[in-house]
Amino acid sequence: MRRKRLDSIGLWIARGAIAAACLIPFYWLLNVSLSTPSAIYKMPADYWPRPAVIDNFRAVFETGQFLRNILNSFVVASLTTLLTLALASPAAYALARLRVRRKDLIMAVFLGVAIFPAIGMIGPLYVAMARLSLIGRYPALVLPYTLMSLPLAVWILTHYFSTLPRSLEDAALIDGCTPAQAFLRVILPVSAPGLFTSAALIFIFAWNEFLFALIMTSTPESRTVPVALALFAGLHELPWGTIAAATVVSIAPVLLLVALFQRKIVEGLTAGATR
Amino acid sequence: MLAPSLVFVALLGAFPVLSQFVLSFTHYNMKFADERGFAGLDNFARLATDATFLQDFWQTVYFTVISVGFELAFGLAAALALNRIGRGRATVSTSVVLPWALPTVVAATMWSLILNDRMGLLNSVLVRLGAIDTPVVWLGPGLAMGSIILADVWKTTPFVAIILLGGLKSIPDQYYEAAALDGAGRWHLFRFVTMPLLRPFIAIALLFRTMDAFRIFDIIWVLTGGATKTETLSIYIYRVLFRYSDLGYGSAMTVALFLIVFLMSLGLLKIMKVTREPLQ
Amino acid sequence: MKKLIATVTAVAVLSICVLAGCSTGGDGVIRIVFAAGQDPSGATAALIEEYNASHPGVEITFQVMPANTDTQHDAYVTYLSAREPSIDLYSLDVIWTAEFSRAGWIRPIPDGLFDESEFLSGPLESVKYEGTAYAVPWFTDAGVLYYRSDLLKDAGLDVPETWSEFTQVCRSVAEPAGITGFIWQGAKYEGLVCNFLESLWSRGGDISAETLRDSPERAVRDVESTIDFMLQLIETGISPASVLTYKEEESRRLFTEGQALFLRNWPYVWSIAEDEKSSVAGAVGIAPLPHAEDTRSYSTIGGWNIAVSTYSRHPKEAFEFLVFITGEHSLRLRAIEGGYLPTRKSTYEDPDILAVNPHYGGFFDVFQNTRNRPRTPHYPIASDVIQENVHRALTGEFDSHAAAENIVTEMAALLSR
Repeated sequence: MRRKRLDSIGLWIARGAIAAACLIPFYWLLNVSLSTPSAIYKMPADYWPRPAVIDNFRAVFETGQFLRNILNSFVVASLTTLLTLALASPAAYALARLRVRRKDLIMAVFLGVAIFPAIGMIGPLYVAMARLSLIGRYPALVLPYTLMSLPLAVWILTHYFSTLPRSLEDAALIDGCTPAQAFLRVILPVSAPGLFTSAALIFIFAWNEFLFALIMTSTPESRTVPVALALFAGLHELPWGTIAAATVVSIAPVLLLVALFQRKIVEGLTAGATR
Repeated sequence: MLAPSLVFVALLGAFPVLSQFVLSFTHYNMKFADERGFAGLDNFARLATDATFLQDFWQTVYFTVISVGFELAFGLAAALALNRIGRGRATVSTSVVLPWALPTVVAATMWSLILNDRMGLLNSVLVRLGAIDTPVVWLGPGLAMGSIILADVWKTTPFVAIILLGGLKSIPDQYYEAAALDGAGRWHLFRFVTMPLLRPFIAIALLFRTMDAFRIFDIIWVLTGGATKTETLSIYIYRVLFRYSDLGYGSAMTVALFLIVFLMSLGLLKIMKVTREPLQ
Repeated sequence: MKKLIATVTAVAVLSICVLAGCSTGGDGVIRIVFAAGQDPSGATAALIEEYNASHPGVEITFQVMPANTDTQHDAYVTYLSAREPSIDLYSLDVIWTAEFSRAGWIRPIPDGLFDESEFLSGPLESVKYEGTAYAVPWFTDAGVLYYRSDLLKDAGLDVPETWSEFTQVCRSVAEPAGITGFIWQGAKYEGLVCNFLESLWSRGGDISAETLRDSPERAVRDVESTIDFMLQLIETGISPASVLTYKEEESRRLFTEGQALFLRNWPYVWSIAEDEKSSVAGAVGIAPLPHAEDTRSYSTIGGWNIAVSTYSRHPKEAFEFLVFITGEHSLRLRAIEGGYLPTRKSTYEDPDILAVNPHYGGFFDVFQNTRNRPRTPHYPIASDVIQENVHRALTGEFDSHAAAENIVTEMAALLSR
C-alpha cells in the first residue's frame, strides 16, 4: 500500500517535470507577448511582465486578417487530416489483414514518399498546381500535405489494426459481410485511439508547414498561420512581442483540438476494453 | 482498398519523385540555359569527392543519432507517465503537445532568443542561480550542435510521446490483469507485456523521427545558418537547389540522401524485427 | 464512419466547385500583380490604391511576401523557374540583378523609361548587368556606424574616423564604462559578407574581377589582413566572441539597450534607437564607418529594386506602373510613412522628408561612399564562399591565410565564369 502511494507520488513528480519542461518556454512566450519591447530583452530577465500590456495583441488584431489566416490553417489542416485518414485507413486495413501481394514493397513505397525531401518536391508540385489553377486555393495545400502525411498514417494504422484481435471481424465475415463492410462496421469503431493519434500528428503537421504554404498561396487572405507570422517581421526588424502574441493566439485552437483528441484516444481505450 | 491511396501517391508523387531521378543524371541549372545536358554519372562522381557533402553527412548522422535517442527515451518516459493518468489528464497531456504544436520557425526563433548569450533567458537564470559567472555563448563553436539538439529534442519529443501513447492505449487491460494474476511484478509486466506489444509503435516512432531528423532544416537555419560544424545535408541541398538553382547536382544529392535514408530505414526495421505480419 | 465518408465526399465536391469557378476577368480590366516584401507602414498599399483609382483600365494587386530576403528568393526562383505568368513585377534584392537577368527571368528596362542621373550612383549600379539596366532602384540601405554621442561627449572625444582611432576610443571609453566596444554582424549569413567587405574596402583592398585577375597575391594579402583585423577585434575584447552568432537584431538590441558604444548596422536602427521608449533615446549619433589611415570609408549597399518579369503578359502596363512606384511621389510617401530610404537624390533635400527623418542628412553623406557586392550571376555561390571561409577563420577552424587563399581562388573562378 505504501509502495503504491510512493509510486503515485513519483509518477506525479515525473508528470510535473514533463509538463514544466514543455510549459516553461511557452510561459516565456506568453510573458513576452504581454511585455513592452524593451522589457523583452531586459537582463536579468523579468519572470513576469512588468508592466503587462496588451499592445502586442492589439497589433495582431489590427486588421481582421489574422483571424482569416487562422481559419485558413484550420480548414487546410482539417481537410488534410480527413483526406489522409480516408485514404490511409482502408489501405492500412488491407495491409494489416487482407491477402495482398508484395506487401513489403507497398509499405516501402509509402516509406519512400515520406523520405523524399520537401525541398526537392516543391518545384514540380508548384508546376502541377499552377497548371490546375489551384494556386491560392485550399487543394494546392491539402493535396501535397496529404501526400506527405499519408505514409505516417498508413504505417501507424497498419500496426494499430494488426493489434486488434482477429475474432472481431471473423464474426462479421461469417455473418456474410464483405471485408469492406467488416472494416467499416467493426474495425473502425474500435480504432479510435489509432485514428486520433494519427489525426493529431497530421493536423499539427499541416498546421505548421511553411514552405508549401508560402509558395502555393498568393493573396494575404489565402495565407496560413506560419506565413502570416512571417509577415509580421520587417526587412531587418523582428517585432518579437507581436509575433509571440500572434503565436499565442494561433495556438489556442490547436490545443483545444488536441485536448479533444486526447479524450477520444482514451475513450477508445474503454471501447476497446469491452471488445 | 489499397487502390485509392496508391493512385493518389502515383498521381501526385510520381512526377516530383521521378523528375528528381531523371535530373540527377543531367547538368541542369535553372539559371543557365546554355549549360544543360546529359551528365551520366558525373553528378554522383562529384558527390563522392565533395568534402562538404561528406562532412555534412557525418554531422547529420551525429545530430540524428543523439537527438532521436533522447527523443525516444524522453518520449517513452512521458508516454508511460501519462498512460494511466486520471485527474488532471487534459492539462498535463495537452501541455505535452505544446512544443510540437508551435510552428517550427517560431520555436526556432524562440530558442535563439532564449539561448542568446547576453539577453537570453537561459543565461539569465543560470547567472541568477550562481551556476555561471560569465554568459555562455550557446550558439558559438563547440556548443552550437548541443544547443540545436536541445531545441530539437524539446520540440519533437511530443511526436514520439503521442505515437507511443497511442500504442499503449492499444494494449488491452486484460493482458495486464492476466499477467498480474500470474504474479508478475511491475518490471515483468513492462518487460514482457508492454514492451513486446509496444515494439511496432516504437519502431514507427524511431523510423519517422530518424527520417525527419535526417532532413532537419529550419531549426539549424535559424539558429546558426549551418556555421561551426552544424550544417546538415538538407541545408546543403537547400543551398544547391534553391540558392544556386543547380537542379542536376541538387537532385543527385536528393537521390543519394533518399537511398541512404531508405537503406537505413530498412536496416532499422530489420533490427526492430517489424516483419510483414506484425504481432497477432 | 458514415459521417466521415459523407464529409470527405462533401469536401471533394466542394473543391471541384471551387476549381470550376475559376475567375476570369472578362471585364476588360488588365490585372497586374506586384510581388514584394511586406510593408508594415501601409504606404505601398496606399500608393497602389491611388494608382488604381487614377487608372481605370488597370488593376494592380500587391502580392505581399515575407520581408525576409531568403524567403523571397526561394519563392521567386520557384515562380520564375515555372515561368509563372500571373506575377508581373518583382521586388529584387540588389544582389539578385545579375542572377535574374542572366537567367532570362526579367526584362531589360526600355530606353528612356527613367532618367539615370536622378538616382544615387550605388543603387543605379546595382540594377545593371553587363551595361544594361534590368530594374529600377526602389529603396536603399547602407552600413553605417552608430555611436553613443553621450559617452563620447563626456569623454571629450570626436567620432573616430580611422580604425586605429576607433580601437583607441573603444578601449578608453567602453572599457571604463563597463560596456562592449563594438558590435557588428558576424553570424554566418549574408550580413557577414557586408561587414567583411566594408572592412576590406576601407583598408584599400577589394575582390573585383580585375584585381583578382591582375594581382591575386595582393588580393590574398588584403583579405588575410582584413580577417586578421576582425579577429583582433574579438581577441582584444573590443567585440565579444558572441558577435559571431549575431545578425542585425541581436546586435541592434545590445546597442539600443545601452550595452555597446559602437554598432555597425543598417539605417533601420535609427528610429528604434530614437524611439521614446528606447533606453538610448537622444544619445545616439550616426557616422560613416571607420577606414585605414590612407584610404576612405566604404559602406556596402543594400536595398531593393523592381523588375518586370519576362513571363508577364502585360509588360507595357507593368512598366507604366514601375515608373509610378519608383517615382518621386512614391519614394517620398514611403520615406515619410515607412522610413524606406529613397534612391533619388532630390528626395534628400525635400523639406517634408527631412522634417520626419532629420537623420537622412547624415545618411546622405554615407551614401556618397557606397559600393556594391560582387555583381555576378553566381552571387549565391560567391556569398557562400565568403561566408564559409570568413566565418571559419573567425571561429578558428581555418587560419586566415588559408581562408584568404580559398576566397581569392574561388572568387576568381566564379567571376571569370
